[in-house]
Amino acid sequence: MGRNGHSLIAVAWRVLRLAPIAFLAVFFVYPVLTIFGISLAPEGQLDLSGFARLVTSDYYVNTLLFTIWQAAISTILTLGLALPSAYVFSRFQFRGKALFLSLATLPFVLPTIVVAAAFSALIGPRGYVNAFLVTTFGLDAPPIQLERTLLLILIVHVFYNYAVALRIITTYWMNQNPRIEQAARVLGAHGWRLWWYVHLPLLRPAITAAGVLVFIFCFTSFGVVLLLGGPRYATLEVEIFRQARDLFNLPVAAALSIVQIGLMFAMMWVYTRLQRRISSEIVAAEASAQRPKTQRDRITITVTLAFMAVMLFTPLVALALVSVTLGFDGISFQHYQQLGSNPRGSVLFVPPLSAVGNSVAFAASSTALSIILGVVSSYLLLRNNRWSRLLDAAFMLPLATSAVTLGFGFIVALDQPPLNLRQSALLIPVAHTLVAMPFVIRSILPALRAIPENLREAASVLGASPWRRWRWVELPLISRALLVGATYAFVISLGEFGASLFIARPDTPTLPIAIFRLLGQPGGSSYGQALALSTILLLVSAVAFILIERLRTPGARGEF
Amino acid sequence: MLTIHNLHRSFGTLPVLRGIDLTLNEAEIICLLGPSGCGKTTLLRIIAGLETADVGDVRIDGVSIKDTPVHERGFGLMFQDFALFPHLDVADNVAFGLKMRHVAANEQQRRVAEALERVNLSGFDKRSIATLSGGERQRVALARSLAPQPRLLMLDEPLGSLDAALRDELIVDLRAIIKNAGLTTLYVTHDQRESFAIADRIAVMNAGKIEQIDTPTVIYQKPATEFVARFLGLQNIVPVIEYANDKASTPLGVLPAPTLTGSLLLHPDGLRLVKPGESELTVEVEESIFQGSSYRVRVRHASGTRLTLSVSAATGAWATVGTSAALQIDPSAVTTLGDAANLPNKNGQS
Repeated sequence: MGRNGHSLIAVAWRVLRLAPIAFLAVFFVYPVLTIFGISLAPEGQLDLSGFARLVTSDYYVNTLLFTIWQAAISTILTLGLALPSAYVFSRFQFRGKALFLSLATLPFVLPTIVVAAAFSALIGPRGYVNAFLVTTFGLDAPPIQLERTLLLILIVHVFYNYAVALRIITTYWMNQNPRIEQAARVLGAHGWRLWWYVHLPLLRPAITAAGVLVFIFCFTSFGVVLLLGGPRYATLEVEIFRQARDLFNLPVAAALSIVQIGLMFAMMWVYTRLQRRISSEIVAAEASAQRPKTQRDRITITVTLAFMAVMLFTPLVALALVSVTLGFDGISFQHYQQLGSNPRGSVLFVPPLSAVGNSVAFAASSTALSIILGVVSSYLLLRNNRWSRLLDAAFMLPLATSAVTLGFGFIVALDQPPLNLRQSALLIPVAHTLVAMPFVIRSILPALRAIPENLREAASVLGASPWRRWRWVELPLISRALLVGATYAFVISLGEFGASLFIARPDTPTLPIAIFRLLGQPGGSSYGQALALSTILLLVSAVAFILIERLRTPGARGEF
Repeated sequence: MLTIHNLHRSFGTLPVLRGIDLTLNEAEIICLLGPSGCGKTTLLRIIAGLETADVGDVRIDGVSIKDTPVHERGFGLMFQDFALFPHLDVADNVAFGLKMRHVAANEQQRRVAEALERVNLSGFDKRSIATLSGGERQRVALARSLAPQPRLLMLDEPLGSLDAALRDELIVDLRAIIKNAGLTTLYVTHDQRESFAIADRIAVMNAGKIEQIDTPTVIYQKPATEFVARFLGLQNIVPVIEYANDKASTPLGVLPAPTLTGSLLLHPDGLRLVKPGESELTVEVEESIFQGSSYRVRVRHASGTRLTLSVSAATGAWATVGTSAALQIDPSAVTTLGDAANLPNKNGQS
């Protein structure tokens, strides 16, 4: 093996395969350990006063309770809406079904800031609906006052997670034996009794898994609560941010982070177990979906699709619409034109449009970094041994640790010797890479696993050296998956909010940060520009979404 | 040309190859025949360089290739499921080996065309692999192995994934194509009919060893061991009780046996079923299965020994189940099986 011909490649690989582990160690483990250090021993020796403040103060206990409570309500609402839809999607065959099911996942790639702006454009005080009501009925004030209410937070959580629940439950349901329902009907089950005694118990594993996942997403909700909730509402995430960034109360922020990490890991553990169970139960069953027969069936389908269309698309359409009409009688691109200038000077330090350039540069670097690390990691994970399973879990950790905690870890760990990267332009791509890596790996690994071993062997026998074998056989076979992974990385980086808010330098804001600052400014012009920037981001994300959906290998879609 | 010397290989504690010696002559087709798990595929993969041997050596023209990596051996290997590259069309699949060997582009084109013509697939160049039938894929895989003109061509159950009718048709073509190209070939199969049709010599393998290596005719006529006989479907094996003066006494009576042996094979081709009285060896017909041109008849001797033979459909209708009959044994039908175990006492004092 140690022949001259491949010793160079062998050495290169031996170095390269350490890269993902080194990356995780420096940019994930080290910051998290620093957070632990700050919370447990801020002055060098053990000091639990940070934690003591958490448990003794009603404020922090209430924050935790609110976090749990809003996540629970959001989960129940999401499941309640997704379950009837799942029934329609698993029972009936109709035109556009696949398209709708795939479109429903669009919110998954939409940046928080875009969604927040979209809902603001739809039902905010200056939004489309209010403007319409005011002019139509000649009102003095906008009739819908949802800004900074819990209801708005819940609505947005449902918007985000509806498709997640829908997908999990529908997939599971479609794989159930349709004769079970038929048998129950013959035995006299009908109406609510059919649901209560047959459907719900049958679907319990899928409903539980979907519920836990949605709960996790809502529990870690940061951007939505920060942007739409106002100062009255704070989840743990938001509180970590406020304590660290606004109040510079690092021990409390660190203690909150640890509580958050602990709870998240516990929930992720539960979810992984549930998910493994429901995916192992999935067997290829006969297609049980039927064409709608009765008028009632057709109405049910129409209502479901209409609901989905209204919920998923009106905010996005409103965003685009208001961005070109706000403050004008007709359509005008003035807000877009203003993006290139910086009249106020103090708000952004730079013209908003330069944020687009920053974001694209960051996203390109994150994409390159996460593709290189993702490919190497995928090869490491390809070997199915104990080591690689451990590694697999390690690569998922940054996802389980919220972006805010990552960003917080970065500013406390990487701004002083031995590693001072505070001023480095690398910090943002590195953070985005941590967030994107699990998605990249989940895109590449199935494609890599799908390459039969004897294809590699055939290439070798035909005279291909290891390098040429990779170049001419393996790379072409994973190229689509690489493109999917790259698209994920790019769009995740473009929209990433939580970590960037901590680490973006004032003079090089990313697109979401620029939108965030503009939204916080008074005046219609800033608001219009925020909507314009959001629309640009929405379009880019939508294009990326279409690319992912079209390129994804059938059967290789990962649920997270 | 290719010499394999004392090859051993174990997977964990399980020995898979236990001392293989084999020599292939230039332009010869040797078939490794044996049941699954006998080690034939492992042997092939060691020769290809995809596995390593624990002990032993593989030499080409006397030079060891043990340390030569797979891609520098210049062999051809056709896989059971063909392992065609799904991202390349037919021509690019066939050209792959040429490209890896840095053959000039116009020379590549010429040789791809030539290889496709050999397997009768001219005009399939731009077809995608997914659109090909099983038989077409098999031929693309063959063309891909042939195109670089390998020093040694290896085929691992190349017809295994095709249905029986197609197999019979392709095996004849396959031999013609290989002989035409003049390639030294190692062919692995568990199907004796396939091996008879393709091989110059057959090496019958069992439990990691070669039991017998010879031409198809000799292997069939004179199987060396009980395993070889049974693997070829020759079931009429009788134990030897006593042996003296080139005669073996068996439950069926005394039979000629040129060498000391533990058991004898009675080849069905040399057994004739006759009316009772025409021979001293009386039997009873126990089963008779009509097979078109013949009956496959199983008879039982008074000693309890059962024998199977073929009776022509034209003359054998009388031998119905339960009938008494007699057997004539042609002395040339008696083969000594060379298993060392269970030898009887030479003096007959058992």
